[in-house]
Amino acid sequence: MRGRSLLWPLAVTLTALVAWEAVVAALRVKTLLLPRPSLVAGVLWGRAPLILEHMWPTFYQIVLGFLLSLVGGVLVAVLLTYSEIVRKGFYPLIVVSQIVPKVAVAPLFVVWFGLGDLSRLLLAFLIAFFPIVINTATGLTSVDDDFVRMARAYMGTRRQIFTKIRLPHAMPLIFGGMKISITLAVIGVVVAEFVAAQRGIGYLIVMANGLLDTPLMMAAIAALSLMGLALYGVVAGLERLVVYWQVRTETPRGGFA
Amino acid sequence: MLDSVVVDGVGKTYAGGVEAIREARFRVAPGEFLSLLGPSGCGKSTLLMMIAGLLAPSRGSIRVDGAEVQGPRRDVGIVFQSPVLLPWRTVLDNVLLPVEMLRLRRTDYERRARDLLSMAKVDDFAAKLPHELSGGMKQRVAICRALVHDPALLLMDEPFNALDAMTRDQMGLELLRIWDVHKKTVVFVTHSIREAVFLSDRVLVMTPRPATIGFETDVKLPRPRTMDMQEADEFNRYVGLLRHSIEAGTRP
Amino acid sequence: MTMTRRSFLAGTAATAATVTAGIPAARAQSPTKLKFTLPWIPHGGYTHVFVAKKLGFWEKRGLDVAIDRGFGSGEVCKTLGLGQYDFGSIDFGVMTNCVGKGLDLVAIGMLSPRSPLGIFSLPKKGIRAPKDLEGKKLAFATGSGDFQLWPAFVKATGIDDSKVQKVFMGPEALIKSLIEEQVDGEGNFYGSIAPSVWAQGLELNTMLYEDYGVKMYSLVFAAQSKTIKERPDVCDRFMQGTMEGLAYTYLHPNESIDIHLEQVKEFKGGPTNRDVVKHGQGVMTAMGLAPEIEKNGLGWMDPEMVKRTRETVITYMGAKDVPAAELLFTNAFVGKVKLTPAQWAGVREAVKRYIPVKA
Repeated sequence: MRGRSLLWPLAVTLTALVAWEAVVAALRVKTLLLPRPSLVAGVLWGRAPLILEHMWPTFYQIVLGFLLSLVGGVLVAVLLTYSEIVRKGFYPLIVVSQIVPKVAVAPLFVVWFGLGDLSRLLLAFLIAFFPIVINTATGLTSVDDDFVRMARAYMGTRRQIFTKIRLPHAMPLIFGGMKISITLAVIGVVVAEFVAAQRGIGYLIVMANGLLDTPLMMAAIAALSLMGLALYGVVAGLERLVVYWQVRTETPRGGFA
Repeated sequence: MLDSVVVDGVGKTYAGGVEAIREARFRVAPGEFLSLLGPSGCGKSTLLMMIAGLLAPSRGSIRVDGAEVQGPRRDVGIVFQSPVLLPWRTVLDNVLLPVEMLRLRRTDYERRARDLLSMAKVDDFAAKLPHELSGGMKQRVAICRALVHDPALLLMDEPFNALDAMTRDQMGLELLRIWDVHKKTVVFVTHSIREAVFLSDRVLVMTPRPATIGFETDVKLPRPRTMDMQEADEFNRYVGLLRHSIEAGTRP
Repeated sequence: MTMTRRSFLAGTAATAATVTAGIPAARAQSPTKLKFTLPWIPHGGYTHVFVAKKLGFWEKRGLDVAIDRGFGSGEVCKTLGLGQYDFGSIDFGVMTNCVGKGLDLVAIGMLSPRSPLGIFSLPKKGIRAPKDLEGKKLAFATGSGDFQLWPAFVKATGIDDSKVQKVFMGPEALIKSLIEEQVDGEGNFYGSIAPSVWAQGLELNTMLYEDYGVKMYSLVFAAQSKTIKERPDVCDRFMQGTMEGLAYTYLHPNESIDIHLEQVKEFKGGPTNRDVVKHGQGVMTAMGLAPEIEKNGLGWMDPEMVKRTRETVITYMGAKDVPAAELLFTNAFVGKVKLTPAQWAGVREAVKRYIPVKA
């Protein structure tokens, strides 16, 4: 069943690539504007060491930024859930922090936090922690009253209710937030690299653009996309493991109800 | 012998001024199966919640096994209208939840949990997750959970409401069978007259809000109860009696 | 701030004299780590720093220099002025403007005495004189020096600004939009735009501001006045190494290109990159030719030109509180690396094609 479900998206992607190749060749589009996918693939393969070298700093910053968002986001969500004072005071600030365009904030971060990894990590954190906060808080507070009442009837303490009921109940939502968050962490780190970095995939994309080397630029983008996809896949896989009790309703023929 | 439950002059008025219960006063003997019968919204669930220690009465007091109820208690088991099983726990782990909450040693109670499941005829599903069980089976698990920590008092709030009529009858029999083995005091809330008669030793009828105990009768049918009894005249006499008292209570 | 500058200049001249008496061949202790930033991406115009690094011109003076790319002179002024770098290359006009805003920066050596700011276009658009700009669409990056000095150019040439349509974009989009003819022309730096356009096999019409009267200094090496005051010998060693690298690039262009490509890995492997580096280097060398440099040595700054640049900046970039010209630069660390007249002649010949000719 898994093998079959992989074939269809692969087929669609391949068809798109073939169409792209054909259109570029037929219309004789300049390489500067839009290179053929075969050319991009060639660069991706041929200059792989360079691309991999730049993928690594981006990768570990994404992962680190994401983990920070996860821990920080859950902590903030717990605080918001259990303290009315915190919620009333800080919630508007948190929302505002999300509305500010990160591209505008990135140069400021560089001035405040320097050119090293810190400003990039903070930008990734800023972008990625909000979905976790929202989803976790919703998950923690949306527990059916019946469950809480049942736990209280069996003399559950507040702490027990939190760890045995609210937290597990929130897991599906937390993972939903994590899936959004990992993609945002990718965006956050790369945007920060556009603005101020000496290495990384974002840096490579900007450099290639500056040199008018569109094939390299697209190869870097392709590599970045693959990395983002892989990271998302890891989180989704983890979700299937941890949130094992979610029933996916399927119609008999394998579609979704 | 000390009464299992003493409800003395209990009333409940909500914050908005709604008086749900004007006055309730009754006793439950140890090992007795008592039903609280009444139409929906007459406050019988509220009364049960107060016995469970989940709600505080506005007036009066409730004593369980001689001690005043001031909050949830270790020696009470409760079953709600919906099973409220934790979807991420196996059936067995769900049954053992009270043991965890009360910080008792799991190993001491695991045998008992399995025996209860076995008696409720769901032991094959011990390792399964709740979503794999039918409604009736889930409610049976909930009953096992209510009994795992060997409480003296079992409170049941219309537990068979969500089930269809046939399953409901079956569950009633199952409950009586389990109760027979573990002789607990049971306070059973229902709006079904037939169910109240079938299961109980005694039935209290509650009037609509502001509620009081409007009527009371013993049910002197032999035990063990069987399905056939529901055809018998004596059974239906009790049913008629209770129906009239309910209608009288709702007279404007 | 003014006091610090005055006192540093007084001290620097004296210190530099003693320090440069003789540079020891090697330092006994571990090398001093330094952070240096370019103004933009490491294109061919900056070959000299990669040469200096690779051939050990800094190393032999006990310096370990890390070279970072920059994000435009404006950004570099900030990071350099705030001490995140020890040294940097920036446009002098932009630097002066930033000093007016309170950043601590001083020019310590000249790289490009000829200003590369100008308006560039594809020949087919027929823009050969300023008057041709009226009725055309020009692209600018708002933070760039060429846009900030556009008013000066307008004044000097007397064209009707209202007749020139302007569009704005990020600096990285400029060159592509010109090649794709989304605009008729654009403001840019000669050394940034020309090599890329030529490498695409296209010609470029060049209209440099300074050919029309907006004469000012452009790319310089800079540092905080604090660095100059506290570590003059480091400044001296750094500039000697850098100027040695510059001289090498002038005299050995091809070898320098090889070194550049080897040092900047992102350039290796691209089809046109060697040409891009070559042109970039040629342009920067061409813009480095000036009588005062040939006379006084590489990196030397003419006080008169500094004054003139300062005035232009105040008038057209709206800079306020700019200190006196003497406080904006120092020649204490330059003028020691010289080329012979014969060498200069050879250099000029080699980059003849890159010397922009006024249409």
